[in-house]
Amino acid sequence: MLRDTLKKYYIVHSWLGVVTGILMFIICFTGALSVFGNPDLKIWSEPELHRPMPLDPAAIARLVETHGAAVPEEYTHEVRVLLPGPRAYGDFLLLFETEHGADERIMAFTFNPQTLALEQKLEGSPETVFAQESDTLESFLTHFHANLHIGKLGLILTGLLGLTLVASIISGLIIHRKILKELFRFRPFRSVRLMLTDTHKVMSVWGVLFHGMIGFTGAFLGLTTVVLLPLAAFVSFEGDQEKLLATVLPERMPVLSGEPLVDMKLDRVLEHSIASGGITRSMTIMGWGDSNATVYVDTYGGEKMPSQSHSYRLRDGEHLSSSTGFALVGGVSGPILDYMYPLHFGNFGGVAVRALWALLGLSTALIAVTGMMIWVERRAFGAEGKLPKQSYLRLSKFTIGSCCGLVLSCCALFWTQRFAPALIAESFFVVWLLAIGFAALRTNNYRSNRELLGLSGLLLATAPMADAFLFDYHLFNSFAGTHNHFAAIELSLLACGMGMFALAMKLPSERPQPEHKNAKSSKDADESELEIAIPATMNMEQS
Amino acid sequence: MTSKMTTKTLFSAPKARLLTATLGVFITSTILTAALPAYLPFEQGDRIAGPILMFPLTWAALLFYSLITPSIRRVWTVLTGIALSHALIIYFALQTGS
Repeated sequence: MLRDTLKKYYIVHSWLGVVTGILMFIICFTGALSVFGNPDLKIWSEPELHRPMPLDPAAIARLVETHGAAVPEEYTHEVRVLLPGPRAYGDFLLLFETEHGADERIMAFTFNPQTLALEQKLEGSPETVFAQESDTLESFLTHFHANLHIGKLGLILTGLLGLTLVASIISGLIIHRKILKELFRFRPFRSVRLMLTDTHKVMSVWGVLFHGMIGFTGAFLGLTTVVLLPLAAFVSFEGDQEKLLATVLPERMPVLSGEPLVDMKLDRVLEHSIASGGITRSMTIMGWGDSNATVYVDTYGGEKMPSQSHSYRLRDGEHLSSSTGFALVGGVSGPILDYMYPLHFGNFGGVAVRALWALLGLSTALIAVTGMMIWVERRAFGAEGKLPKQSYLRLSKFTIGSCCGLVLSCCALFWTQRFAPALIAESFFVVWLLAIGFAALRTNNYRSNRELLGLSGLLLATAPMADAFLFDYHLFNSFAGTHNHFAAIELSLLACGMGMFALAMKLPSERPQPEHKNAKSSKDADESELEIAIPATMNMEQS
Repeated sequence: MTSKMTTKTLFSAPKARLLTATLGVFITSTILTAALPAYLPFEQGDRIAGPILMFPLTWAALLFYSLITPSIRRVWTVLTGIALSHALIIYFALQTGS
């Protein structure tokens, strides 16, 4: 009975992996890159951010005051200041908004983040105003990771993938009976199957907590806004989502006094927030023009892991209170909700955490693809295949084209960002499709794998060299000390590109033959795979 | 051949089971998540957010139950029972406005 149950878990684990493997790789790989989205890829993408950008609270306060006095009164229901800088919003945006609802309108002013000169003024519904924003490498990758650029359907898909990751981990833990032994068993040179199986298991077991956390938070972030929150609102608030949000999120509109605001101390608010540590991301002014007007400053990356909201009185800049986003929920759920986003994106604790999150995210992606390859290998070159060998090899070609093609198209984005920034999305999908076609036409899967990864490495390593011709500030004049962060990113790209190229050159160009075919390595491979779930006796029964 | 027979005997009614594990489990777990706030004995915040946070685990538990349980009839009975009882809870919650 136990044997049958374990065998069932094993089959469920295999099929979950095969069905979702490629999409899982796509989401996890772009997720690993998205970890560096803010601020690293944002700095790299936008030349205005290459140099450090100290905030000038007085100048920002003056701009808010001047433009606030000029806009019609109905646009001052909510005034948002999206601050400039790589860890905030990049550009400096002033948004004047009417009351929320179907007729909501926004007046948006965009300023150059370095000079604070007005660049653009837009007016319209939120959808039309925000649709004007063009994609950069950073925004394209982070949105692709979140919803595959297909809106709500994409959010549901990534949420479902999070669920299947959770199910794969649970079934994997059940079938891996010798988990401690597998922590240290890695035999890359015995046979392809053993190399794949050991890589899959070692990365799964070492990173199990991270993979579980990513699956859980990913499922939550993907499904909450589209499926779960409307459902909760349907039952508990008669379908009124606004009412639900008002219950769990704090009310921001202050009690208005009716007295006019004589002097606003926005500069003092900003100075206090910057001095308090953390990254000041945006400010929202509620009750504009009233002496009770309140400023809410959103920060993240301070002493606490979740992002925080600090309220200040606008007339004298006095700090009133601080809280996390879901403090009102309270109980056990409030703190868990607060930790969801920073845990998923690793946007706390600086570059070391981002690097660790990216490496672990890459390992989740590799687990998905090695799982696929084990499945194909066992059927194309083992005893389990029921279809012709060519059918499995075609799936293998598609896997290589999709996965290595994705790596190539992501690396090509660094060149597109510099030479055709308006064609970010188009170039990404064209390169990806070309790579899938290339892998499908090649007869040798090992060579196409090597070539696609090698080309990706070359594109990444040479991107900083192109920058040397395009910009005043680049990797090769970083000794001036004026743009260290940008230079460090370029150095990382160079190192990653060279590393990827070197790795590609080390990959075999033919299918390696086991050292002792049909003897020890083959026996080890079978045992290693089957002992996961099925006691040897059952395997013998089958054969 | 042997492997095919083993898989068939391992999972009874494979097509119906697959449909149950994909669509049936997702529908049941969403109905369950929607109805739980109506009767969980917690503070309002936990009552609403708790089931949403637990959704991945609820879904995984029902998924494995539907795949591992030998009798597909028992799976249908349990899933239909959970879905119908919680749909009724939702109905009464909407009627009473609680």
